Amino acid sequence: MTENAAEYDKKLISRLKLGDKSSFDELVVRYGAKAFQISFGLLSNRFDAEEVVQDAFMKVYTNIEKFRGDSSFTTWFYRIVTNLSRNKYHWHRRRGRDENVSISDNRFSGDGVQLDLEIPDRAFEPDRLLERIEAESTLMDAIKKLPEKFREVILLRHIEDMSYREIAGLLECELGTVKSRIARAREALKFKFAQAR
Amino acid sequence: MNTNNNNNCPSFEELSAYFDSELDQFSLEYAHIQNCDKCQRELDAYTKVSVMLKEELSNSVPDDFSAHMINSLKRRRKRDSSVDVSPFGFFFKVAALLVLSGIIVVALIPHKSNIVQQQVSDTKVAPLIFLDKLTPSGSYTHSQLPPSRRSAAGASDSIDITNMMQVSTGQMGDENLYTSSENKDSVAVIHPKVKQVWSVDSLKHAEMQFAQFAEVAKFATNNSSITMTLKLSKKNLAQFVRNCKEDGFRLLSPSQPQPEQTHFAGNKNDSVLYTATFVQSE
Ligand SMILES: [Zn+2]
Repeated sequence: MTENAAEYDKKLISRLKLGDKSSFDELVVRYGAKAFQISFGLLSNRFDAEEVVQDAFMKVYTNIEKFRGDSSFTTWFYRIVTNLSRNKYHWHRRRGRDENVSISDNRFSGDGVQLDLEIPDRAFEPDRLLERIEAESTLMDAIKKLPEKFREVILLRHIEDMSYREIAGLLECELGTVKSRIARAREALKFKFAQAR
Repeated sequence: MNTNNNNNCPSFEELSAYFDSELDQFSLEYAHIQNCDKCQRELDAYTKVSVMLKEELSNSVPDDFSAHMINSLKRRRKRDSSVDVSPFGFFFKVAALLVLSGIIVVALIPHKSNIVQQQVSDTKVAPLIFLDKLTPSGSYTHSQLPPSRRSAAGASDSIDITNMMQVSTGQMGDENLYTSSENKDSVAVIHPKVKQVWSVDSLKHAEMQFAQFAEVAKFATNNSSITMTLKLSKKNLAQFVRNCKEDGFRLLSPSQPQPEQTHFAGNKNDSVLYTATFVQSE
């Protein structure tokens, strides 16, 4: 995120606050496709991803008054996208296992709520990650097989070129955690790529 | 570069941080990585993954995504601000559905299509012609396409509109559409895999278009769009596209067949894997 882009976002947001709807459309053009890529990368489902992006922009629209600009727009926006994707991901997963879980299960919806992986982290050390993704055919399949937390960091890093600090702020976790997750995800994907070629 | 292959290579975490320009430039690891062939090879692999990941993800973005998103969001904002409480709403919709489905069923019966075309519109529709073994005479450029069809004209969906003319149609708003000239040389190619995006006033209406096809392979739907995939002959696809336009659907994608196109290269019986996404217009 360059300085100029952030400054321009600020202008768009203050115009939106004054009721200029076209600046909202401009935000959609600026960030919609990237938000889709992140959500699609997380969910591996086009329709879910599209729905997430739409919901995220609706949240931006209805909550724009509350956005004071303490963090950049992108941090705020991609946090919404990530959280909504998490909601959907967990909702689908739980629904598959347990029909009684409702969408009002809000454990994952709060801003920056950290999820605990059900499997201990060491199960995702590079060599073990490899075992999980070995059978997959493409890089996207490999992404799909990464645990959610790893997918999040690697997608934010690659699609929006976010710095580790920005990602840590967005996901509300330690800088070191971001660094380690990106590295492990990358190692796993690298191996997959080498295999595919 | 010094060759410095040794076992003191930093961990993959440091290497990955270096790759992301997140490693302290004054650290020992930084200096090592810069001068180590083995580390550099690792970095090359990271680059490949990074490029491929970005590529695959950007390819995943649907045609005209931003435009559809803007439309969907406008609709949603409207819907959120006004709730339909008419007690006749449901019955009206059912009645409209029945009427429309009647029209479409008739429209898709080939030998009766002329009659229906007269009912639906007075404009003359040129017959579809398939020309075997004809090579198209050129290819499109992005600037030739109207903006709404431009972003969808990706490498995978190439079309031929060399001999198509840009015309302004009063009925379709200020949007310029492309139509074929009457020239027999304006021949377009229908690729074996075609993806198109349509803008429709009513998703129900679009849904009824699918009801005609028993062999719809995939059918996905959400609040704002419906997607289907089916296999059909080039001729039927060209007809399908025209029927959609007659029903008032607006084609946003540049890929052939376009409803205005009348001459196509190849055999009319060749089959095409067709994926259509219908998105609700504002
Ligand atoms: Zn080294």
